[in-house]
Amino acid sequence: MNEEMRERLSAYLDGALGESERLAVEAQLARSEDLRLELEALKAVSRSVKGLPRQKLPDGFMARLESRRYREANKKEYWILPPAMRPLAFALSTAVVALVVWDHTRPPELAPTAGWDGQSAKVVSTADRPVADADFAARITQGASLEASPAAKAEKPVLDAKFAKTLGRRVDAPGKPLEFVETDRVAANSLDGAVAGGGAAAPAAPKPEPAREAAPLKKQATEEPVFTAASDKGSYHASSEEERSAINEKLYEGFEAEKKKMGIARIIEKSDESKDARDRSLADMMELRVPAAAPAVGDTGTASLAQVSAVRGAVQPRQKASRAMGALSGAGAKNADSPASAAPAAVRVVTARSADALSAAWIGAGLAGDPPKVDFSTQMAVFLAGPAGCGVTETYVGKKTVTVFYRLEGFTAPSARVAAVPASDKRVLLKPAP
Amino acid sequence: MSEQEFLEKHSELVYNLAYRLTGNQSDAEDLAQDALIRCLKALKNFRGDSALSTWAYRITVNAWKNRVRAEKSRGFWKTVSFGMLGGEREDDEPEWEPKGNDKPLDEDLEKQGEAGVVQKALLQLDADDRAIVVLREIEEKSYGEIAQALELPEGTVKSRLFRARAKLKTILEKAKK
Repeated sequence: MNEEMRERLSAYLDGALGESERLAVEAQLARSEDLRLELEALKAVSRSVKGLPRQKLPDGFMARLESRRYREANKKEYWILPPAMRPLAFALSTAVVALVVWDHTRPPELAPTAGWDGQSAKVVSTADRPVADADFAARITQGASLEASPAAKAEKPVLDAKFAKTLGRRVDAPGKPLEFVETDRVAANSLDGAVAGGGAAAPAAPKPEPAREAAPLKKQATEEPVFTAASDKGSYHASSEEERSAINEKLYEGFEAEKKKMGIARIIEKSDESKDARDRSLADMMELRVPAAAPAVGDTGTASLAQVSAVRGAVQPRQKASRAMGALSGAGAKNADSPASAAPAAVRVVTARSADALSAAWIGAGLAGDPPKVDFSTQMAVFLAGPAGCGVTETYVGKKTVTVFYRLEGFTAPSARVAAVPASDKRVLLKPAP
Repeated sequence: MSEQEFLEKHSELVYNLAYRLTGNQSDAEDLAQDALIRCLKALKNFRGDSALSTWAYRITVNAWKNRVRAEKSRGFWKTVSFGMLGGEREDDEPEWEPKGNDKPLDEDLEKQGEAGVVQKALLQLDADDRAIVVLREIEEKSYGEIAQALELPEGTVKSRLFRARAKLKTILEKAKK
């Protein structure tokens, strides 16, 4: 008896065959004892299922249904983010809070004058050195834009073109290089009488000077440029290009120090067209935290941007994979979460919440090919960073933690290092497989 | 048809289907209420291209299959019970344990007798096969109505019903030994 006949028998039982097929099956049944036994078996199964008792509605079912309908109809409308957006919203709100707290609590040494020792340039108050264009002077002392008034522009050479190119873009942030403008040409000796600012601090924003008739400056045969720059923290004057360069260098050093303390590896400008800047979401960036210590693989959980960048740099081109492996695995690891079952120094687990982060970890480990696909809309990837042959054996998702079990050897496919778990903010633990 | 009329005629049908699909009372009630609320919301858009009961069955089965899919994706990556490893037991429990408050079906099998054995056998069929068997054997729907309810071709219903019956036959024969 073949499968097709058995299937027809099932349909015959249900009266679902056409006339000619029904007659053919009946003829077969008359001839075959096996077919008749098969039919009886099917009938028995059908009777068993039909014999299941009919269920009455449980007591109170309709009342509970009405209650549920009422609740659903009257629940307040909240703007609920889709699950995929919630990590981003959380990261943004955390970033805002962190920035506000940092701004209010940063120590004085992070003030924009870090690195300014006042020795390499003379700080001249505009009150002591009158400027021909009173309007322009007022705007400088108020930390206004460097754009000179039309009158000043017309009368004075404002900016040397070559000079301007070397300055770069002006930004009004502490420690950024300042755009110096040649405001006037004055006799070198007229600056000797100017007040040199001592100490580290630039003058506090000078009080606005009332507009006054400024005495015309004496111009002599030997003229030297005076460069002036203004920021929201005050004015800077340099009497030479060398001084200007020295000022900018000091401020730049201060800015780099600020960045390091804030844990920022790179500020992405709007015009930055690199794939990294365009594609990496703020959530990914904010989630990548820099450990307080010097670059090391650090805590179980998330890879720092600095670590990933360092590892990326180490593996460009891919022939440097071994160096990258050393960078990832050699930094000394202790499993801070579970000292009793500490992972060996060679193994760490990294959580990736985006394809970019997973790729970064994959490349950083010097693995060939592409990492396995993960549906990051609902999942996150745990990546095992360790020696060749290691892999994830299982994952366990608990109420508060995600446990990743691993073995150090025995895996040939690199994809064994990656496991996908439901996306969450749970702590990730790493444990050797039993 | 008014909402009240619909509920009076179809609540028990939907609940019965939900019970046979889920295998326990609390899950059945939850699924049935979910399905009935969806039916009431969509009632005004019902075009009458099938029987109202068939339409309600379709909504019920779809709601149930969505739940099954969600459960499957949560348990997709292999997990182990922590206690099985012999390590120190953490405070955590698997997230996907059944929420129903009534006892597991197995505990009542002796009391339920053959009905319990058959229900347990049904639960071993996959989602579509279980729905096909219940709609055919219990709700006595035709192949065409089952095809409409599950949005499957009629030929597929026919072959899947046959295979589901064959599987049930094997399970029940083993259970009797």
